[in-house]
Amino acid sequence: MAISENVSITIRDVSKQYGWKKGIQHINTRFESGVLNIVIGKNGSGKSTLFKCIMGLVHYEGKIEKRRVRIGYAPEEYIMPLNLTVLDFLSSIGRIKRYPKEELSENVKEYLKRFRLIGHENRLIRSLSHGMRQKVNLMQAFVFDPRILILDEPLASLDEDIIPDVVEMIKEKAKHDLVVVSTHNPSRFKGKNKQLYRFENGKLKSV
Amino acid sequence: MFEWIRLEWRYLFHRMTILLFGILICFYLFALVYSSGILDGSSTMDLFRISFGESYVQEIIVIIKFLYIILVVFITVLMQAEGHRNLGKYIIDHPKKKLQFYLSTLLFQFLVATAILILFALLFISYTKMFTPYALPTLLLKDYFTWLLLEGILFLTMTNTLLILLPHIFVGLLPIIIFWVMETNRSKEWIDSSAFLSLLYKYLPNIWIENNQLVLYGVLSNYIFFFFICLFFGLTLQVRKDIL
Repeated sequence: MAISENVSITIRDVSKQYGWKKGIQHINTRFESGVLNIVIGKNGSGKSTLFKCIMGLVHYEGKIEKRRVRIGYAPEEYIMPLNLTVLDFLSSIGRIKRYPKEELSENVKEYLKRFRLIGHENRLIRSLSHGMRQKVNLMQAFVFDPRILILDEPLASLDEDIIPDVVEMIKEKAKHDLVVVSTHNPSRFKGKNKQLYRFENGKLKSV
Repeated sequence: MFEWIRLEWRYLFHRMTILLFGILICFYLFALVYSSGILDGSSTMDLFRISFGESYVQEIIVIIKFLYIILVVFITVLMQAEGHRNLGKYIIDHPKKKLQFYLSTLLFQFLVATAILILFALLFISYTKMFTPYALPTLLLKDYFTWLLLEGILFLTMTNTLLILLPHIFVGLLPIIIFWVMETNRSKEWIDSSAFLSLLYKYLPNIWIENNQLVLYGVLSNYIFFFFICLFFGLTLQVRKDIL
């Protein structure tokens, strides 16, 4: 059995401010693979901002070191291109992330099944409910088998009955890869193999 | 890059935009038929083939210019819309990829703008050759369309930069207004008498045909300079701009 190499994200003195509003301040931490990294905190405490800094979506001060590996990211505000079908969207994202075509097609089928979206793959994203869109949002982060997976509030808008399955998928992924999840419900992620971080007023503390 | 462009294609060409493009193409075809004078009968067209032919070419090249610039600005507005910016969240995983994202978007717009102009030109030439007795000034038209392509690309780059700076749908009206002002005042006397018009014509090309000759007020080096200024500002703003 192949042993996957450890990956990590090192954050050194990262700060981000939005105009007059405080964003995050002097964050120093390291996320490691092999454990489930859970970031908790109130609304507006800085969780999403940190994720956007890691993804390079926002301009920040400080340094973030991460290896050049495939990174999956499911944002909290998922405004997807509404005129694309689920299948088109997932295939495009996977191909842009340079994942091989055949394996991608297999993965898409697999995750359509796991997220219970079989039969909806040819529907336009526009026609999906919020819950379904959230599933597509999560799927696009999983399908190309990323070594780093960042999920911002992955359980929001999901039906109660699928939440345990999604939690299981995330925990399974965290065994070998680097997974960082933000949530308001850390109790959903039962088990010992996890590391909690708490955001308070833009500052991050290990719990 | 190819996959990015494919995604852009799927984003841009959906039912609503295809319908809009279709309506504009129908309008264009109607203009071709109407301006050619085919409704007056082939004998009339034959009899006045020189005078009718000249005014037909003049009318059609103006219609092509209007439709082309409007479509170019329309495409840019769609490609700078919030839905498209959010696509970046799924693609960008490193600050450098923001630049790549912007460049691929711009390249895609250049390709679509070029394809639209080629389509307009081909329809014009094919229709004229098949259904009218008029002779087309081929060399003159080749130069005209080349300059028009440059005009479209400049308007496209300028509109992109304006929309990055002020992301509002109505900002897209500004290039249309500029184009309108330039087009309605396109005479040497008017341009020379107004400092504002002179400035516009110095950096933005607006080509027209007069007495079987191309008329262009500015010079290529100014247009290239303006293109790179817009491109540079667009890139700088895009890289520094947060995708929230």
